[in-house]
Amino acid sequence: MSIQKYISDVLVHIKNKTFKKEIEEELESHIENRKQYYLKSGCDEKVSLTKAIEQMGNPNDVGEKMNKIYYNLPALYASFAMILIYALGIAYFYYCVDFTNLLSDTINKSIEEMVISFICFLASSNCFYLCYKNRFGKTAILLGIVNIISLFSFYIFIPIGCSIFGFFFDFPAVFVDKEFYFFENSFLNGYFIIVSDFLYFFLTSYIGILLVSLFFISPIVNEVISIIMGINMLSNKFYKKKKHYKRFSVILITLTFVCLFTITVEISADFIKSLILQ
Amino acid sequence: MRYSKELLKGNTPVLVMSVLKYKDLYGYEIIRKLEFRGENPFEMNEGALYPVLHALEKENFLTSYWEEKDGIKCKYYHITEKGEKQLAKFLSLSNDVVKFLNFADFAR
Repeated sequence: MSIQKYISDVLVHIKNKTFKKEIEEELESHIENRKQYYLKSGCDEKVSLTKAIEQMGNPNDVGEKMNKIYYNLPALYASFAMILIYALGIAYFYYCVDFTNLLSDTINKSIEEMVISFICFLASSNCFYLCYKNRFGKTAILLGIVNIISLFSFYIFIPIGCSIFGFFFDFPAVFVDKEFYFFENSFLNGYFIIVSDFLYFFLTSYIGILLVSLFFISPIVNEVISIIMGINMLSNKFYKKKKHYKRFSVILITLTFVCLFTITVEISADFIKSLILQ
Repeated sequence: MRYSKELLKGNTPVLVMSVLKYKDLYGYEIIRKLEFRGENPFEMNEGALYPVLHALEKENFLTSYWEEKDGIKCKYYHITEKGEKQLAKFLSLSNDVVKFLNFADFAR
């Protein structure tokens, strides 16, 4: 059996591609060291190699055990998929925009919010991926869940929430009326025009409020978690060695921080404004 | 002192961590150290060391880095603070077990 055969027998069991190369190099180095040991003790090249490989034991056992350790969510692909879905969501958002109002302030504001959310999403995806790579399995999954909630909140909760809530009310909430402009043309509004029953009207307005509030809560939670995770990652010893990740993460964390600050200021300003207006 | 193979097999993570306590070593060196101490549970099954090392690394008990030695690239393992704490915990637990067994023997 050659070194390559032994290693490929181990690697065939491992499904997580990220660690394959490292495991391959590590096993190769071990066999090489053992071979050198036999060469020094007087064996010839071929015997040394055979003995070294024999001493490694059963490759299937090693491969199966390794696979159990590294079998996890393929986080990188999940992150890419999330970015793709997010892009589709933004495309849907544009589809719903009333383009006659394109120059108004509200649209600009919304685009700004979209950009902010996108940066936050990238930041948390990055942290999610790094957590996974650095073997923080559980944290990565938690972050992934938060990410997904935030992702859906942007273009699922808002259109549905505003369509339901906005159609029946004159928007007592300051944030909601802005969004209503954009989703006026959405297919959901047409659907709800048919329904005018009082009970349904009452019930749906509550669902509307709930869904809209979900949108406002989850991105902020997402950002806070992204920042905490990002700082954690930067202080991790294993992670410190990867400079390009570090730079990328520092930029994203800074941007996320700025976004969080902007959102907080905007929301509090709007809230104070609404209080004064009342 | 030679320990039974069964005892060594059941405690390989502790054994590995105790070898790494004083010096960063790579896989082959760990085996050589254990061989030297006459406590090698990986006899004719050296590959089995690596799942143990990787599992400990995943739990953050160890960290690793690559370095070249005698022209061969080697992956060195370093015990973390968390790993040291875990090792100390295990050793104090086994101390308690020994004390208890001694006491039981005495009480008999």
